[in-house]
Amino acid sequence: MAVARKTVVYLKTGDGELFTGKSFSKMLALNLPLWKTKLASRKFSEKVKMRKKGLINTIVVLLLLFTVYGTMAMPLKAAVEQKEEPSTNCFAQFEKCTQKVRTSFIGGTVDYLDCELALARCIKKALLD
Amino acid sequence: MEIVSRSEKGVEATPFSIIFKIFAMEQGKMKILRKLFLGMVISLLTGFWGLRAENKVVEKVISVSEDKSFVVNVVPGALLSGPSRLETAGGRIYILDSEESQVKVFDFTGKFVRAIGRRGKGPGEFSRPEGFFVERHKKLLGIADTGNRRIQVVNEEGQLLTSGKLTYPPCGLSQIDDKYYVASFPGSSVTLGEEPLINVYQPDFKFEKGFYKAIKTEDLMLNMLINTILIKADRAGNLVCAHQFGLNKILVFDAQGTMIKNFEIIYKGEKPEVPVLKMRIRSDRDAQKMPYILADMTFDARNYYYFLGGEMGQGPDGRTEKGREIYKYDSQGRYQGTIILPCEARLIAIGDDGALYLVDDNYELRRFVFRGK
Repeated sequence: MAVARKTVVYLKTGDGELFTGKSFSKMLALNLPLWKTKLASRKFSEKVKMRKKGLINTIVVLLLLFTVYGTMAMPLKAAVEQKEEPSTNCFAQFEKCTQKVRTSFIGGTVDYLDCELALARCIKKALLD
Repeated sequence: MEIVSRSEKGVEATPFSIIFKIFAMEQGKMKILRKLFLGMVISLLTGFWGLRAENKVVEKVISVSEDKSFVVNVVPGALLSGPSRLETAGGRIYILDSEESQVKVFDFTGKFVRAIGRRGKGPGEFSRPEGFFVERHKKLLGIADTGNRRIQVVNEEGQLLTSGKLTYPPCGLSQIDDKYYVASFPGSSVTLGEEPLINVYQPDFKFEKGFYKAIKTEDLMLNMLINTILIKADRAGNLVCAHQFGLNKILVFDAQGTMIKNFEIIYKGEKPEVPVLKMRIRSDRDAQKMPYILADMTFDARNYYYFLGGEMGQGPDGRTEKGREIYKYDSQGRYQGTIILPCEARLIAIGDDGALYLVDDNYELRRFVFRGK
């Protein structure tokens, strides 16, 4: 009796009438043998345990999927963005400019600040235009 | 009598049914798991909606329509090659063309009036200027002669009135109470030394003071970008300083250089957090990832601020585009509304006639009028 009350039990009679643990008193009113209800409860408890295991497995799998998706989405997005980006050569020009500054004599017409200025102008144009 | 479960009765196991089962489960071993799951779901939902609510504002759309009668007359010299600043004053529209090192002047009907200056190193000549101001009453123009590292003040005919030599390339210029406010180029020497980004000079170009120190990070290129500022004097005589790249910061200084207001623009109704100061700029691609791009700003006669967002967005045809939204704020930093433009804009200015003038992505000058109130 105590087992049946704790478990949500679905018992169906031959007439198709459905009882739960909560309406156990009603079931008793039908004068069913006690061994039958105990057997039913035990069988049902096993089924519930099986379902619990399945549920835990489902939750674990879902969590794993979310984790994997979360880590994979960022690099994938970055790769797509890289493909779409227009390629300019501001930094290449900057390298050339600084090379010129390094190899020029003292008092040359271009200094490092001019190179930085040209780079800033180029990036600004790329970002705004 | 037989034992049946709900699934045996033909109810399919869906995610909802799983969640339902968790809640319908008996008190026992599953009690902890159930509580954990419930707590996790509630905290996730609360956190998510709380975050969204904090970083979102309700967008108010301000309608504008193009004035089709405004047509710029195509004459030699009127074409723009590389416009970098736009100002309006006294019925005139002034466009600083950095590429041609000239200021091009139009009237409010779109008629080309004249070009001021030319490329060179002499008096009244400029080398890729990147900032200017128009003195409204005397109709004088101050030019930040970036390439020549000097400030020049010229009249409407382009005659040099006064000039001042600088030790750095000026990238922005404004005037408040006859004093010159110069934005310095944030090169490595300025940012590494955490030197002031804004320097104040007296009318005779005597240095007075510097304020607003450069922000220093470990990356030199990032320093250069995040310290690029736009400066303009608002109608109340305060200096508005806006970071153009990466940092979503609008600062308002009084004439003494004291910061009186500091606020952020909420782009597209949202305020996403981006760890900009940890970025590394090693290539053009890295630079392209820079968030919060502010293309331009302007002020109307009632001293409302208008910020032209330069960030990328998707156009109606799916094409990537920039500068389609203008965010209106009051001088206290309170959001007033968003102007959604039918075209991409590069520069904006509100004229004394209350109309919105802009230079679009094809470098064409256009006029828009506000609809409704």
